[in-house]
Amino acid sequence: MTLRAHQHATGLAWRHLCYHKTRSTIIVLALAVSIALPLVMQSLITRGEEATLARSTETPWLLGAPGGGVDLVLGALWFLPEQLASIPMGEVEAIHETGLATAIPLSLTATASRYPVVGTDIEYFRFRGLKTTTGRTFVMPGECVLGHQVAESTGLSSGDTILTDPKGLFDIGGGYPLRLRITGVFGPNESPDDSAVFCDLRTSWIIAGHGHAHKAVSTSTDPNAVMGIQDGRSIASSAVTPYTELTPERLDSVHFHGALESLPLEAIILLPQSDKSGTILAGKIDRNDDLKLVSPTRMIREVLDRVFRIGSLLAGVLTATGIATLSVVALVLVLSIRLRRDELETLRRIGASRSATATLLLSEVCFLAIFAVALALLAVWASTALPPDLVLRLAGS
Amino acid sequence: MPPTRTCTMLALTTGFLFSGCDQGSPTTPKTTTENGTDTKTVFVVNYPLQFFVEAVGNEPIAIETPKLDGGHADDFNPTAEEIITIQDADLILLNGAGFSPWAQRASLPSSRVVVTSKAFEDAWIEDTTHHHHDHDHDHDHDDHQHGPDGEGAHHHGTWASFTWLSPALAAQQAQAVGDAMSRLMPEDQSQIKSQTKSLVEGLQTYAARAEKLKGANLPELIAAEPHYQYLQEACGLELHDADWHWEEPEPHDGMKSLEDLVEATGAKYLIIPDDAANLSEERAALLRRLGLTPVTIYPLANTPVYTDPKNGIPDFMMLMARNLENLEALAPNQAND
Repeated sequence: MTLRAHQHATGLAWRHLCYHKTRSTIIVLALAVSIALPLVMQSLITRGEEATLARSTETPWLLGAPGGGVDLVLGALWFLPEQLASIPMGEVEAIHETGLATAIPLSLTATASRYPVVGTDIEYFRFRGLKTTTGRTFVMPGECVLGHQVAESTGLSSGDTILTDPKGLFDIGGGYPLRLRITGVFGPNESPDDSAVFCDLRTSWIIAGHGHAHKAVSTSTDPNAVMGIQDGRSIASSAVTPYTELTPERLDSVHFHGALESLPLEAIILLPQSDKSGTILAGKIDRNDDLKLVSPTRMIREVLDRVFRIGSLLAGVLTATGIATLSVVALVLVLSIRLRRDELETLRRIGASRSATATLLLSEVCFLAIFAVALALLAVWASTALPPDLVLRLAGS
Repeated sequence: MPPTRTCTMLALTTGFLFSGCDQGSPTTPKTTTENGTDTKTVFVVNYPLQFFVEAVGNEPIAIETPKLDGGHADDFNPTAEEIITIQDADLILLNGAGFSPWAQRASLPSSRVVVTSKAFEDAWIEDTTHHHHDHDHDHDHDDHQHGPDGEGAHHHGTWASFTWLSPALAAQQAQAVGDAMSRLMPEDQSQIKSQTKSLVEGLQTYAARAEKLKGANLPELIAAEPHYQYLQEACGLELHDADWHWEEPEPHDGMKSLEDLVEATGAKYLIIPDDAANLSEERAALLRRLGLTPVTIYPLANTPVYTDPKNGIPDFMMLMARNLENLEALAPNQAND
């Protein structure tokens, strides 16, 4: 059989597939899905594992209140809406006084446009390598900086404002929604920091209702503002409503319900000066029953072992499903050859050799396989656009 | 090797000339080295802290100071851009005791901020005068609480903030600066500790001299500016605050307050923050009329920019010594000598 005959057979196979468009498309899609699913799953597992571990290994220690270590890590590193108990701000100063570590406080109770509002210290940006591409970082309470993803999805930028979400309709004791002035937007960081709003700790406490700013309490300005006088101090009535936006002029009137040292933090990132300092500090903290020190790497490895063990099992199931799908497709092809018996007999009678017929059938299978593999690879490539820590994000949503 | 001072002394003149020094933008390091990569940046809010850093620190350090534009260091109010620059410093040294009200409002990295007077917070003195150089300030400070149970009860007090004028407190601040510098530059720790020790010892010598003045039966004094509460405490001075704003025009110059105080106390000496030689003829005549002899006590919050014909440019220690000498000269036994 000549090369020309093989070319004709291949052309005939292509024409046949094109003629039966629907059937060919269904077979290509079935094959592509069977091939792509295990590959995409494996790719997500690998990338997720790398990204998750990278985020956790960047963070040597996390300090929080006694409770679930995994919740603390997911809340402090991925800003997932975990219900975390709090520790007092005074712990930050206590750690700095030891000179053993840098402590970065995190207040994680608020949201704005459903994105987490992270009340923190300027040190956090240096630690995470966050740089503004537009505007500047915050310099005072009432200002905030948007993560890259928040700015993209909300269309907000420096100079705009963003309103924090109320805790709940019946949360009378909670804070008022606060209008935050956006001073800048961080560049893409490929991390959960892209999907967060950052502000000063005091802003976060005001949002949570631990402090406020309002007009001077005086009967001369508003007779309803003062309930009475106690120990020479005016008793402000509930008619005194807090400001819903903090401006530089209003900062002098900001005050908190208690000393700053006693105000709550959900987590503290600890960066020991050295391994030795870390060990000494861990020993000191372990003796304190009111604190829990967590190694995010160790905690995340435990999570990954569980999450990705399930993932591996799922990938195995998908592989088995893929094999079954391939078997069904093979059966469909065998049956289609039987259905095409008359057509193949006609080909033989008009002079097509057995090898030409075989070439025809094999070409069809090859075309289908090539398109299916191409489509599967395209899906795998497209999946790389998904966030590497998709699994954790889905867990949190 | 101590850090090189590169602040341009634009106002160098012959003889004494004491004035505030515009020490350049915080973005302009005061000291640099050829190897810029290892340079640690230290922001200080006033001259005493600048001096302590220079005295205890080693190269390479870049000292950043407030841009004052001829104003007073305690009135520094940074712009957002200046706060951003301060945020980037490796160490931010604050005086505490309300010296930098802006620092209470600004977002600063707590791990890099050291309040040098924190160790003696209990010794902070409440400022009953609450003097500001700018008279257009409008503070809405009010004491109040929310509800009868007192939720959110708070009090807006102000503190006297020139803590370093007490040599004993200055020694504690110098120690705090030394400790902070040791943490910043652990590789130079032993040298920094030794330099801190000698600085603290020097200040403790002054503290002993100040303590001695408590029993010296000094005459009653009037302070032209309300910056001397800690010196008063350290030396046991009988000091009255005139709140005489001698740099400002009438009627804001507090002339009436000074006249009333002289009449009420019979004081013969007026503490002024500048050299008597720099008094205008009008001011000098006024003091003569009131029967007041000027006594110079340098507040030292701003970098002194002047030359001494004998000693060149005096530093913090020399000026502290001169403050004590000027007070010691008022002791009755000294007067008799």
